[in-house]
Amino acid sequence: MDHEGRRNTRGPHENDGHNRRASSAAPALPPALDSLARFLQAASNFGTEIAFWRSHARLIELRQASAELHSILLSPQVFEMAEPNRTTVLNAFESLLGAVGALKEAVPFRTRVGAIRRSLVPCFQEIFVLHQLTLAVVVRLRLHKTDPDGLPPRAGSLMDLDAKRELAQSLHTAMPFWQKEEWNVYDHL
Amino acid sequence: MSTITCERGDILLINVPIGEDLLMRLRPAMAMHDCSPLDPLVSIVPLTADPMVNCNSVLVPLGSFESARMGLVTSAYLNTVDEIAVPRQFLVQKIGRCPYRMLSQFLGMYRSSLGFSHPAGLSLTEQAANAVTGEVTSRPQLSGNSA
Repeated sequence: MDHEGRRNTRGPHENDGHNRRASSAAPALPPALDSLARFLQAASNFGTEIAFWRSHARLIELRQASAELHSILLSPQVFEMAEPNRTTVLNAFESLLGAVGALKEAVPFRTRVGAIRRSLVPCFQEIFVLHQLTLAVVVRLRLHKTDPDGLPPRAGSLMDLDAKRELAQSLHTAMPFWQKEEWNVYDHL
Repeated sequence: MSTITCERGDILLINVPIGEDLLMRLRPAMAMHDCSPLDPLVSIVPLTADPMVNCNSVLVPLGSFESARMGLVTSAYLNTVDEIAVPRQFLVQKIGRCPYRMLSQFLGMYRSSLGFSHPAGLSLTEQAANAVTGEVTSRPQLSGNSA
């Protein structure tokens, strides 16, 4: 991954002075966003060519991007950020998620008969991981942004009370393990 | 009513009533049998934040390919507990699929720990369906697997 300009504190979607101030409050974010954005730019230019992915350097770049996302997931200050910084960061990651999702769909890992090209399996797997980690960051940012009482409306909230009680009873062994607040990220997928 | 078709190994989000106020939250679970939109019940095993007690568990760490393929956004444990029959109305979405190798490993553990403990080896959904129709199905019992 090209490391030039990593001192640049602007993310890919932070172009005005206000956002530059916002990103300076979150030192863990800009290098990750910046390098990911540059890699995705290169991938969208060359990513439909198998030769692009055959280079071992691509796998290293993908793994480095995943490691950066991992470090973001382990940084509580990213998720406890105050508004409007959090919205700025969330918007930047939502855009990245779209780009990684498009990459996952576009790259030619499958042969004409639908099998995955064996030599590209590690890259294929790493793009899945990259997408997953970006999604994990996004849903955690969404969770922290949402008012705890303001859950997204779900059909389940309209269900009959007796049916809910019956289900709670049949799932009673799993309930203690499902009450963790961090797991409310699944409400924001 | 959900019209999702699922296969064994699909990872599903289900609506779960959490806490005393039965607030509905989404939680992941794995389908244990194929099911069509006409089946009223779906057999699942829960994916949880910590290993459940009295069973074997497989850790699926966040950042692994298995976790990514399963569509999870947290590290999770897959538990060999008795499968639970959930009414289809609580099914919300299919988010991924357990990769073949991990599914085989899990099912191997599952069968050795409790898979043969069900009477006549029937799944819970089969038992529930038989209870509704009053049908009694007998299957050959394997000897020495009553644990």
